[in-house]
Formats: sequence, C-alpha cells, structure tokens
Amino acid sequence: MTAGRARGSGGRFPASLATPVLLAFAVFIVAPCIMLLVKGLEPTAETGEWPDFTNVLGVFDSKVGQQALNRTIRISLIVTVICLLAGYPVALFIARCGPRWRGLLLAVVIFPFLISAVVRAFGWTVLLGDSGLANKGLIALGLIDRPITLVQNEIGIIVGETHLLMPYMILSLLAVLQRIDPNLKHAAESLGASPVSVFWRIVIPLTLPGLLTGTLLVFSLAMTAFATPFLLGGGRTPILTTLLYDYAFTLFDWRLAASIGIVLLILGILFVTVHRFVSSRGMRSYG
Amino acid sequence: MIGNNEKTGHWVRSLALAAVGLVIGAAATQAATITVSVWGGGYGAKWKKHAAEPFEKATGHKVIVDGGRSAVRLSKVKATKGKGTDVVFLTVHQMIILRDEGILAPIDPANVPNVSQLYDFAKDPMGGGMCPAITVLGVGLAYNKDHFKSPPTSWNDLFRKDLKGRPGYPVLSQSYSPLVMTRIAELNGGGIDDIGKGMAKLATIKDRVQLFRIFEILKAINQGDASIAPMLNIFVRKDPKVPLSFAWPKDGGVGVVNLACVTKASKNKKVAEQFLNFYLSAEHQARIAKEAGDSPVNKTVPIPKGTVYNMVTPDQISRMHHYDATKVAAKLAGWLKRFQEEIVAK
Repeated sequence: MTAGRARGSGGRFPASLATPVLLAFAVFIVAPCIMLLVKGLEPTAETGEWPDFTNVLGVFDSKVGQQALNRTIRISLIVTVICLLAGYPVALFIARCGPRWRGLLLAVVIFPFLISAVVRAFGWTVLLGDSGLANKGLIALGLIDRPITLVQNEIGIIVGETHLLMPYMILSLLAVLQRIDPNLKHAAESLGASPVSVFWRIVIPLTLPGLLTGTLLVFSLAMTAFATPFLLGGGRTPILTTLLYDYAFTLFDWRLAASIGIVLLILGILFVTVHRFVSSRGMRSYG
Repeated sequence: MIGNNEKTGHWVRSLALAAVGLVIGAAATQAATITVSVWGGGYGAKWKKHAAEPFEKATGHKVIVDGGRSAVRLSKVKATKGKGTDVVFLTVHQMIILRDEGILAPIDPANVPNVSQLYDFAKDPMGGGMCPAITVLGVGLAYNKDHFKSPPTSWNDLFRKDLKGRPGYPVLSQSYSPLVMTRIAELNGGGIDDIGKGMAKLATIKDRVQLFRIFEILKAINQGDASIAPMLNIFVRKDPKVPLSFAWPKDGGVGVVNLACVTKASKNKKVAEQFLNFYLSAEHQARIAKEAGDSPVNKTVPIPKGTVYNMVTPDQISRMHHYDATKVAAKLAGWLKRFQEEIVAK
C-alpha cells in the first residue's frame, strides 16, 4: 500500500513540474510554427482558399529560388563532411590526452562559442579578402600568382560555417570516445588485430551514436545559419535563410517569407527522417 | 439641526470644489509622454542626447526612445498597428509601407508651422499632407583614393574596365539601391518606367561586381579589394588617414529622405506634432547636423563648418535627383525579382 501510494505520488509530481515548461514550449515554439504554416499557405488571390501552395511551389519555380535551395543543401552537406573528417581526428587526439591537456584543448575547441557569429564572420572577411592573409599566404607559397576570391561566395560561407560548427562535431564525438573501454582495444590487439583494424572495427562502431548526433547537429545548424552566410556570402550567393530575410525585411511580404520557412521546415523533417532511418540501421548492424 | 445640516453641506461643497480645482490644476501641469521610434546604436545615443533631451527640457514633456534597426521597428509598428508609438522615424520607402497600411495620420499644418521653412521636396514627400522629411541624404560614390588619380565624377565610373579593384553595387533590398538603379537606367536611355536599361548595364559587370548588403563594401574599399561603390553620404566620414573617400557625381547625387510621421493610434497627437515642429526648427536642425551629420532640410540652416561628415549642401540639393517614392515602392517587388534572376542568379 505504501509502495503503491509512493508510485502514484511520483507520477503526478514530475508531470506538474513539466507543465510550465510544456506550456512555454507550446506558446513560444509550437504556436509560432503553426502561425508560420498558416501564413505561408495563405491564398495569393482574393478568391483563393487556404491552403494555397502557390508561394511554396514558387520557391522552386524561380532560378534564384532553385539555386538558393540547391546551395543550402550543398553547403550544409559539405560543411558536415568537413566537420566530420576534420573533427574526428581532433576528438580522437583529445580523448587520448591526459586530463591536463584535455582541459586546455577543450577550451580551445569551445573558444569560438565565446565570440558572436557576426564578429567571427567579419574577421573572416578580413582574412579571406583579396588582400587578406589567406591570399598573401597562398601567393607566398607560390600556389597562386594573383588573389583568388575566397569570400562573398560559397567558399567563404563554407569556411565560416565550418569554423562555427566544428565544436559541435568534436564535442559529440568526444562524449562517446571517452566512454570506450580501453580493454576492448587491448583485447582486439591481443587477438592479432592491427591498429587500423581496431580503429575501423572497434572504435568507429562504438562512436556511431556520437557521429550521428554530430552529423544531425551540424547539418541542421548549417541549413538554418543566417549571420555567417549573410556576411560571408554577400549578395551573389543567396541561400534560403538570406532569401527569407530579403522577403521579410525588404518587401515586408511575410507570406513569401513564411513560404521559405515552410520549405526549410520540410527540409529539416526530411533530413531528420533520413537520419533516423540511417541511425537505426547503423545501430542494428553494429548491434 | 437645520443649521448643522447647512454647515455640513457648506463644508462638503467647499471640499468638493477644492478637489475639482486640484484635479484641473494637476491636469493642466501634467506632462505628456510620447514614444518615438527611431534608429538605434551609436546614432540613437546621439539622438537621445541632442533631440529627445532638449525637447524634454524645453517643453516638460517626456520622450521615450524606442530605438533599433529600421526593418525591426517597421515590423513592430506594422504588427501593432502603431499602438504604443506616437512618432516614427523611417526612410521614405519604408514609411510608404506604413502609409499604405493606414497606420499614419496626416499632420495638422497649424501645429507644425516650421514645415514652411523646408525645401519643397521635403515638405510632403509622400503626398497627402502626411509628414515632412527631417533630413536629406544623398547617394554618391565611395571610392579608394589610392586607386584613382582624381576623384570619380560619374556613375559610369562604376563600369570602367581599368579599375584596380572590384566595383561594388548594393543588393536591391538595400534602401537606396533601386534609386541608383533608376539613375543608371536614365543614363542609359531608360528610367523609372524602363528599369531594364539599368539592369542590362549592371549585368555587363555581373561577373566582377561585389554585390554588398550593408557596410562590408566599405571595408573592402579600405583594404583595396574594391575600388568604388554607390554609398549614402552619411556612412563615409572624412578621414585623410584611410583610403576610403567620398565624391558626388558631377551631375548630382541621388536623393533619399528620412521622414518623421505621427501614427493614427497616437494618444498624444498634439504633443507629437509639437515634437515634429521642434525637430524642424532651425535651432534643432543645426544642432543635429553638427552632432550627428544629419543634413538639414530647413532652408535657413547652414551646413556646419569643419564637420567630419560628407553633408548634402544646398549646391548638392539643387543638382540632386529625386524619384517618386510611391512609384518606386509600387514597382519594387517586380524589380527585386528581375534583379535576382538577371544579376544574382548564376
């Protein structure tokens, strides 16, 4: 009787604690998303009916809309792959360091979080400009004989977003790398596995959850980034978020802007769906 | 007993009269509070010190400054239908959006007599007796002085093939970009009704032009990556220590006006108009010109001497090209689509 009473009171208490947060979530997150959906599907003609997909489909009709959509997906994929390929070795190195060096290296990894994205982007415009350090370095090394355009284009966006999002990948991987039992590696080596074999068949599978989490975080943040592409992409490389900004704050056409928001929402849902499918298959294979 | 009632009644009447007198007196001396939506940041701080505070001191009324970026303030006033805002400061092409939404109220000329001292283009830029301009800006040419033997003199300098760095052009979502496009169209056989000539001219430098959004072009000019770009005069200060300089085209710059309008929802319309009148006075126009670089629209106000700002002088005003903001606003959506398809898209 006492246990049953205890169980009952335990069930009500967490629910009541969660209610304020859930209410806030409903009001400040869910309600605006619904308003966005309603606004973006408002009829364009006076005689039209809700939902009207003209504006949403219109994003795919125009040349600049199609290019913005392709560019958004392409840049997000490239940034994710770079963060993965460059972040994994960094996370591996930090995981193998002693506690003192690990703390210092972690501080270096999270240092970009301490600076605003706008300040970082402006810094990159100086470094990547025609007369910036990057071009001067490449010319000094003899790799180019005159400056190449590294900013106000996709290269600038990719560099800026990689700098911005690399810590997410490293921290996601580090969390799982630190939990790997070193005895597993010792056991594999004692059975004749080479270091490469140990890495591919023991370490990689065990870090799959972190890898998948990092991929999800980096891709979704890259897809919805605004300040970095706004400043580093310039006017020649619009992506969906900067196009949304133009419609919202130039024409003040909130319906058109909301339509782009809907496209981003659909892309996000598609990516999460694919991610979950790949995650569950991957986890089952390495099971 | 009757005597006591009469005495009591006398006291009650006296107390009531005294109370009414106090209320009327309090109302008569009570200061009003107006909320003014105006640009923020460094400009906002100067504005508070040199516009809001002098008005408060002179009139006893209180000014609440609602500072911030134009696009955000416009969205807010639009969403609230002007409730909570008495006076709003915006560039003309943005103010037209509020006008078309029915959020603005025409001013009573009797309450704003200083309008008569303004240049003609500043008295009623939107028409309908809505609101006056409070400052005039001009689009000219920002350039790197190390890239030119003498300052550029024409919009056509943007298209020169011998530029050391890139030319720049603002994306069409920038306030003054459509106006510059109109001027370029005019110089190439078109105009406000044939913007295609301007788009075609810009397309000739499409591969090397830097399309900029805000101020990144100024850094590019200073670094030597860009040579020249259209730019508002207020964003380029006179500084001999840096390569960035400013020049007016010989045939005149492109005019842009900032307006101050009273909202229909204002509960203190008379005080709001009093504030407008104060803002257009010679004394205030001279002060804000000196402290913040706002070129005066009051004809009687001279340009301050020794200023670091590139001001719009009466000579520049006489040569300036102004375009019908209502007409530009009506065409903007189509122009933006063309700009995206013909200039931005690869």
